[in-house]
This record gives sequence, C-alpha cells and structure tokens, in this order.
Amino acid sequence: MKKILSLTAALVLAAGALFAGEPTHWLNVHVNSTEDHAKVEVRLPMNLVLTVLDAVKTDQIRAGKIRLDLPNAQLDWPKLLKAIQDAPDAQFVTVKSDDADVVVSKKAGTVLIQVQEKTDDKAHVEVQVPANLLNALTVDDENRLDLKALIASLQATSIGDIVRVTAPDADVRVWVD
Amino acid sequence: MNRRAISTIAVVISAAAAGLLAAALLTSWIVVDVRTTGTDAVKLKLPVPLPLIRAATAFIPKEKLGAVKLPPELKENRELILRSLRALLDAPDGAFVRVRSDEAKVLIEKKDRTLHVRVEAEDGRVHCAIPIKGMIKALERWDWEHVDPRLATRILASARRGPLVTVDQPDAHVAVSVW
Repeated sequence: MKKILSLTAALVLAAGALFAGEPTHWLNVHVNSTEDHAKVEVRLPMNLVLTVLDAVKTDQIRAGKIRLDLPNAQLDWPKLLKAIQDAPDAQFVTVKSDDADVVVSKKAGTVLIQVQEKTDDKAHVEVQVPANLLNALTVDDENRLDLKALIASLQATSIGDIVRVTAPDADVRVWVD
Repeated sequence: MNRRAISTIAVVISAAAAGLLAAALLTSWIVVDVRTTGTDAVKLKLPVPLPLIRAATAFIPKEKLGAVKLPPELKENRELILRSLRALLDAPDGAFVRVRSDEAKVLIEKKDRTLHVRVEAEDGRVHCAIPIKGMIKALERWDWEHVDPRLATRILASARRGPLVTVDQPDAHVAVSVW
C-alpha cells in the first residue's frame, strides 16, 4: 500500500513539473501624481497585454504595431540598432540643447537613455533597455514599431525597470517582474 | 372518502411540495435588498426567481428595444472586447488596477474567474462582481446593436452565488445578490 501511495505521489509530482507552464511575467506601471495626490498602480499579466495589443485597431496602433511620429526621418533602423547592440560599454551620444540634455550610454548589457528637460516640467526621463532586447526592436518602412514583438521579447528575457520618469508633478515607473 | 383516497391525496401533495421545493432550490434567485434611512425610510428585500425575470423580459415589446440604437463603435470593437475578456479569463488572479486619490480608492481585481470592481469614495462604496465567463458567453450571443435585457439575465444566470452589486451610502444600502 505504501509503495502504491509513494508511486502515486511521485507520478503526481512528475506530472505537475511536466505541465507547469512558464512563470507569468507581469507588466507594472506606477504613476505617482504629486499634483493631485493620486497614485495609480497597474499590474497586468504580459499575455493579457499581448492579446489586447494584438486586437487594438486604431490609426496609431494596428496589428501590434505603433506608428512612430518621426516626420521626414530616413533612418536605417536595423543598422542603427545593430551598431548600438555591438558597441562597447560607453557613453556614446550626448546632446545638449536649450530644451533638454540627452545622454545615451551602454553599461553592463543595458542601454540607458537619459533625458533631462530644461523647460516646462524639467522632467527627468530614464529609459533602460536590455541590449539583447534590441533584437526585437523592429521598425518597418512606414516607421511602425513592432510593439508586440518587443513586449513578447520582454516577457521572455527581461525582468526589472524599463522606464522611470521623474517630474515635479508626477513620477512614473514601468517594470516587469 | 376512504383511507386509501386520503393517503393518495397526501402523497400527491407531498410530491408536489417536494417538487416545488426542489425547483426552488435548483433555481437561481435574485435578491434585491434596499434599505434607506430618514423619514420615508424603505426596507425591502425582494427575492425573485431568475426564470421569472427571464419570462418578464420576454414581454418587453421588441420595437421599444429596437428603437434604441447603440453607437456603431461598440460593434466595431466587438472582437477587441471579446478577445480581451477571453485573455482576462485565462489570466491569473490578481489585483490589476489600484487607484488612490484624495477623492476615491478604486480596485479592480480578478478572483476565481470573477472580476471585482470596488470603488470607495467619501459619499459611498460600490462593489461589482462580474462573472467573466458568463459575460463572454452573453456578449457572444448579443447583436451589439440594440439594448437587450437577455444580456443581463444571461450574465445573472452565470453568476456565482453571492453579492453581485452592492452600493453603500450614508443614507442608503442597495444590494443585488444571487442565491
């Protein structure tokens, strides 16, 4: 009897291990508005985000792709992204203007984009993109970013902060766990 | 009347009573509970069997319902809404949205295939429990163009036993539950 029980328990455990899916990744967005003392916390399973994104059909978003507002931009996206991915750790773009300072750097496999606004809100924006995620960044000839592929890749590889915005009236944090 | 006749009648009455009791127990009941305070205070607890609500809605003239035409954007977004709900059904339980401000607190969470929406404000509290699967099935059968009371009864029929909508205000309490 004991043998049968132990065998059954072992089989149940093995089946559980066999059929257990990948752990769910969650997309988190926290907005802390200091102006109206509002705190918004959104935590959605990535699969739900992907499904909804795939179903959205608007002028800007269609079939999981978002149109980038880049008038007259003639960028060779694959070449640009490959160059960033292959670049060694360094601070490789620095733009200083009256409106904002922009720094793009790469450190420990993460591409860091920092924007410090000098006018209006004087917001500080930090975007952290794991370098291996750049493979999933595809922009077509019509300047449409494949958001679905990016999020799918995010689900598979990335855990941690993606975007942080610090402004006088609100703080925003986007991350995956 | 002889003894046998009396016992037959008793058996028939008992069987009918048992049948009615069984039907009542198997049928979902919608309980509407309204309580208000003040000079014209109301205290009302109205249990209604769901089949009766279904039957009553069948008598609403179709031309009256057909007169109200819903915005076409609703039907255009049918697939988006249904796919989102199906994905929501498959998603794990959890608190999806929390909003805290000076005016109100909002919580949207999924628990046991039910979407709970809770709003707490200074002047009251609202809680809605939406059965996701029942909602999907009801929406799949709906034409997305006209007001259809069957949409509500189908959702009600799929709801788990317990509170569906509760509104609490300082001077009133309204609750709709399924039993």
